[in-house]
Amino acid sequence: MKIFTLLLTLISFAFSDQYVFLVNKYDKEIEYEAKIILKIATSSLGREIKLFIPDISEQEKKIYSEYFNLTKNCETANFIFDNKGSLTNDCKKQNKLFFTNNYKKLMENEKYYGAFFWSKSRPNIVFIKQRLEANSVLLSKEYLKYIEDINE
Amino acid sequence: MYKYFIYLFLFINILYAQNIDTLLQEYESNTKKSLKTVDEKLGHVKIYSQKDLKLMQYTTLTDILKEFPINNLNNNKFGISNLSLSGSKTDVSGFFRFFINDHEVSSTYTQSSSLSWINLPLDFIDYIEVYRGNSSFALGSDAGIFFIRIYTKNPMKENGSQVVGTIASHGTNSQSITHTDILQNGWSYLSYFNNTKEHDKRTYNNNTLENDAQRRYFYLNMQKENTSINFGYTDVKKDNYIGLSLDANPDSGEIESKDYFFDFTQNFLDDKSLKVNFAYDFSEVDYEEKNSSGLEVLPVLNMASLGTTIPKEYYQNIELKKYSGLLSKTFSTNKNNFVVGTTFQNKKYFTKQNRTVNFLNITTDVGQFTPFDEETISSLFVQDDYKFDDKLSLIGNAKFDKFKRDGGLDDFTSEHYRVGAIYTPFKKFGIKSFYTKTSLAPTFYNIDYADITDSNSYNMKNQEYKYYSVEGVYADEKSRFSILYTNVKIENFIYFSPVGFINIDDHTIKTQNWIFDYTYELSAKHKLQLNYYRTSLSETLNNSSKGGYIKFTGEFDKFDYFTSLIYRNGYSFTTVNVPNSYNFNLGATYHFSKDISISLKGENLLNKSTKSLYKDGLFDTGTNFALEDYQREVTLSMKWVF
Repeated sequence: MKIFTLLLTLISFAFSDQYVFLVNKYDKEIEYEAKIILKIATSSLGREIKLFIPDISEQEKKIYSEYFNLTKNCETANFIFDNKGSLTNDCKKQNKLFFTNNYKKLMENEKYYGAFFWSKSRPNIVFIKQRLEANSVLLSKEYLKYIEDINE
Repeated sequence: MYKYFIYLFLFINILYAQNIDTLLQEYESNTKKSLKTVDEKLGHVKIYSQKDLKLMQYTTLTDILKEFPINNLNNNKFGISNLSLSGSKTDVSGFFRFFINDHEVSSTYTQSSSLSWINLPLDFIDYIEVYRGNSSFALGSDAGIFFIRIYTKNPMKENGSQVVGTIASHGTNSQSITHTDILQNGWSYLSYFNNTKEHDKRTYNNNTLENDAQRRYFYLNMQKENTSINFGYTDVKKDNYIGLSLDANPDSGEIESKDYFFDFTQNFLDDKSLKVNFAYDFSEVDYEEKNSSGLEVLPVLNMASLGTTIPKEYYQNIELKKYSGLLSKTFSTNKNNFVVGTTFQNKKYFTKQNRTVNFLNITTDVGQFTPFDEETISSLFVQDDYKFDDKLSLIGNAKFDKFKRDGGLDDFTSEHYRVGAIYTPFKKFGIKSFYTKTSLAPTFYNIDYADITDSNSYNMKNQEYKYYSVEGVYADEKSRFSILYTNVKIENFIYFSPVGFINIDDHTIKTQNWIFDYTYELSAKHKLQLNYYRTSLSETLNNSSKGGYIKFTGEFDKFDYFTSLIYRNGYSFTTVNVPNSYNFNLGATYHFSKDISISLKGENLLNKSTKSLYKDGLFDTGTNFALEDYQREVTLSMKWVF
């Protein structure tokens, strides 16, 4: 275990990054967001992800497309990440998973089965137990601590 | 064997990165590096990240400015912190621009930081970028030679509330509350309130110079994907320290000021390439002072009848209003970014009260010092950066201003140009260089306090700056080393002579600076930073010209800790000898939980503060003397996040 920890530490050093000049726009944060959504979507669906982000920005489009097959509309998607609160009601829930970045929205709208959001300056993920069951989503053990039972 | 280890490393790394907890941790630590808005094309940049601000326990903006290279942070005669360029001391400097969320908060009257924003508390600030370069090219502001961009915490990434209470050894204390929330309609907001009471005093000629102050701040930021609304308010009520007194010992005096602004920014189009901004700024300053030995209120003095024009009481109330707007559009291709924009500013200066009482007890309503009380500036700016290849980027800027001024002052146009290059021939090494030609127009303050011996001094000339800079950087996984050289030439420098502001037009002022900077990451949680700089100046030195710092920060278990030593060299001016300054600081934070922490910080523990020069007496008579800029202080603070 010690060797394992040491190796991890060494790797994290190797990837710690002092930069010379940041000439290109720094988009590591969006890259991490995309990786986290990829991880969640893959674990939830277990098949190829067709992602739809309402009102997606050009920068998001560039980065998310490296990890996902992006769709231009809600109908053809199987995973919707509503990260601007701009999803319209005409996007119906048929064989789709809806994810938000707003905890309040998650609590109040049954459409969403989970959220990836910041709380008290820390990033957080929450899945609603009842909605996971309703959507037949089986998550692995690593997600257990992120599942909330809200007695809907 | 070697290959085997590489494969093993990569394999483990993939497993490691795939864990959702680890991804979240990496995401959080990456966000705290605060690199999202860095724009290398604006100049030579230094970032104070969210992590730096937290570990170094910086309480106010002045804590950062104290250590900032090629500058000295001094107290002026009103006891207000003011930045001066290395080697020189100014009471009010107009070279620096301060922005909060891209709104300029420099004073409309002096172009310097206003009385209160320079002491901005940092507990609602996310990170700070300091650029050596001219902000006016890309931000459309007034010209300056370096600028500070301050970013408030992002409500989307805070989403909670925070209470901070602080008490220091001399009785200075502050309380603040931050609240952030995300609404369901996509809007989020941050609101902040701070109340600070400062206790500070010095002794000169056995007299106590009081410098107590009470400051309050309120800030509101509301944002949605393409819209940002900011409202900032601050007021201060403080003692006037030395003030205008001829014997450096006022009988009584007080300064009150109030500043607020409203700023609205909207981005249009999918790529946010069209930007519209409107802003309104208001500031009010109320000054009063009584002194039985007389006051040096330069603009009211008449050289032919000094006996009846030297006041013993002075009352002033002024207001400044500024309306500004910006429209810019960016055109981007794979290799080229072209920005074109236009700005408009209208500045109005109102004198509500300006009254003196002389030694014959005659009250005089002075009215406006000069008829100049309105200025309108229209500007057009363009920027083009061309990415020649992955290694070389070229940058070109131009800005044209049209100044319309009332009160019989000449209207004029000014032009600003800059060319630059960023060249990274190797992954670990790069060079960045700029040549800039810019011009700083006189302010309302410069004109009010223009040379009283010259009736034509109001039509002061612009200060013309020509400067170039070269920066070389070497960086590997754990360390970053940079050398920055700047060479500045100033024509028509606006100098505060004993009889008021004059243009130095008989010679060119020259200054050269070297900054050496080294950062070494001892481990993922421990960092060492070293800095040394030196300046040569063509004029007589009246401030420190060399300096540097050593900073160490770390985290272990539930503790954060830091130590720093900030050095400024000694100097002599006339009969005053100012010794070296060694500002030694030490601090630690204990986290009871993720939400509650307590911090202890000792500042200037060796009691070897920098000193500022002052002078008593009228015009160039009197005595020069030096007073310490800050005290030795221990501060205890508590933070609760909920």
